[in-house]
Amino acid sequence: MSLIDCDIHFAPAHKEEWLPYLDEPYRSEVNQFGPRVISSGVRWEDGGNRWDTVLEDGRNGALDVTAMRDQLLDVYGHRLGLLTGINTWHAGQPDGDYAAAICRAFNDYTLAHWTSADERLYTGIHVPNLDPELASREVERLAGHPKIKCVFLPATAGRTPLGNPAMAALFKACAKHGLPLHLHPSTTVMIANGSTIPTGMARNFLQIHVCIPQFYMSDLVSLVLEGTFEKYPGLKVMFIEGGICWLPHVLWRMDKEYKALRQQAPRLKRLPSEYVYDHVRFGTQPLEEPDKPEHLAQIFNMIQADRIVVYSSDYPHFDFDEPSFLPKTLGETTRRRILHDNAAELFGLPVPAVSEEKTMEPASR
Amino acid sequence: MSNTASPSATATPTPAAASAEAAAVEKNWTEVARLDSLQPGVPKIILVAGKSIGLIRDKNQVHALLNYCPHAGAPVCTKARVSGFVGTDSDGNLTYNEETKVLRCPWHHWEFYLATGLPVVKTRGRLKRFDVRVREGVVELVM
Ligand code: FES
Repeated sequence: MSLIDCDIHFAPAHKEEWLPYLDEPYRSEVNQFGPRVISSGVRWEDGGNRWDTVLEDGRNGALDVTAMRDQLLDVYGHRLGLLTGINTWHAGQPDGDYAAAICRAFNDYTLAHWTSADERLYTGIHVPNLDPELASREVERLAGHPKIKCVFLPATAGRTPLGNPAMAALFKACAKHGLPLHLHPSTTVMIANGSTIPTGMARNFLQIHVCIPQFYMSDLVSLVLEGTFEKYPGLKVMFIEGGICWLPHVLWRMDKEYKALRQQAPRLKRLPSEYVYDHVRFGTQPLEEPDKPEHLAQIFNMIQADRIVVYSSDYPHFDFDEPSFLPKTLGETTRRRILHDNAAELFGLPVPAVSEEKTMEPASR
Repeated sequence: MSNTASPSATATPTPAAASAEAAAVEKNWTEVARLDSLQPGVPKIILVAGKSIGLIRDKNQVHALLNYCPHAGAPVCTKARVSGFVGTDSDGNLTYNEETKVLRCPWHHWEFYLATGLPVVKTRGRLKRFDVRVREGVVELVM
């Protein structure tokens, strides 16, 4: 089965690879002083990478396209791998001009060195997340490039909830070019906003990692209830690396509370969950692992996973998921939609027609 | 079905109109309140044939609703709030439409259109409405 992977990390092997793409005065600055760093202060184990991805010479596989082929693309049958890169250099940078320059350099470097090296590799546009106006300019600059499939927004805990009208310029640019907004957690953007978990600064990465869905809930609720998808009917949003098991709760709760308090979301014309099904997609990884696998299959069923879930591996990080992590009892159609078709539709790729089949089967594996 | 009918105010009856009028006359209208005893937008609860009913005045019209919420069975008219409709225009600007009245249940605050009894947010059930007319300052309804 051909696979679309919505989250593959990679990085330049050394500074000389990407520095030529950085505009002045920042090239000179980084040359002399290195990139500006927002540090998490938490234990960070070898960049959070799988130890088995480290090559004989000590380099990580995610720094080298040949290694990435051997460790990932050729192993799982990728039709399309979305290179999400790194966002720690620009995410949360308070200086929007600097963040925008880093994004431009990183985007150009990715297109020149990576996506051109393998026909399966694609990427998106990194943008400075705290300056929607500069972000929209970078979208305008690169939209239409054949290797660009989305816009990356480091998430979350922005200075305002994601649906705030202050984000208008970015939403408009994404909708105009049909590029989904791809959210990926960023510890640095959380730190920059003074909150690595919703209640403040967590003492370690474990707590940060577990609480990512809490940020995603807030951003999803804000996006939907502000009427963002009424304002920008062409906008699609992807929530990556938050898992999926929090969705039944938030979808049901939004719909329930909306019935009582609709006057506070007057831009909506439909139930909140209906906007989610039409406009929002969720990455599988890190897929929750309950003791009873059938419970996970039930959640896939509750959220109509065949419509809204896309596969993401998170290679080469320690919480990587293989495609086989999906519940064994999913019907063939649902499996294919998650591993391929849902993302293909988002990225404007042809989806092969198939005969009708049952999409969900009783849970047990 | 009109909730504010004054059925006899017609000109020369056509055969169809005549039979409609005959049907209207056959309805069993019951006097339930004087119009001037109803404060606009403030439900008045009355008991008719063992049923609790909310009378809600909107200008010189009156709506009569079974005092029972299809959501979870609250006495939906008792201390309900009535207001205009909060929405948006075609440009997405917020609007307030005084003419389209909604009633909000006192328990969970769901909204229902006064004119139809339908819930504003689609869901199962609707408010049960009764035919009402106002004649010479007297509110009458058909059970
Ligand atoms: S009982 Fe009326 S809204 Fe719940």
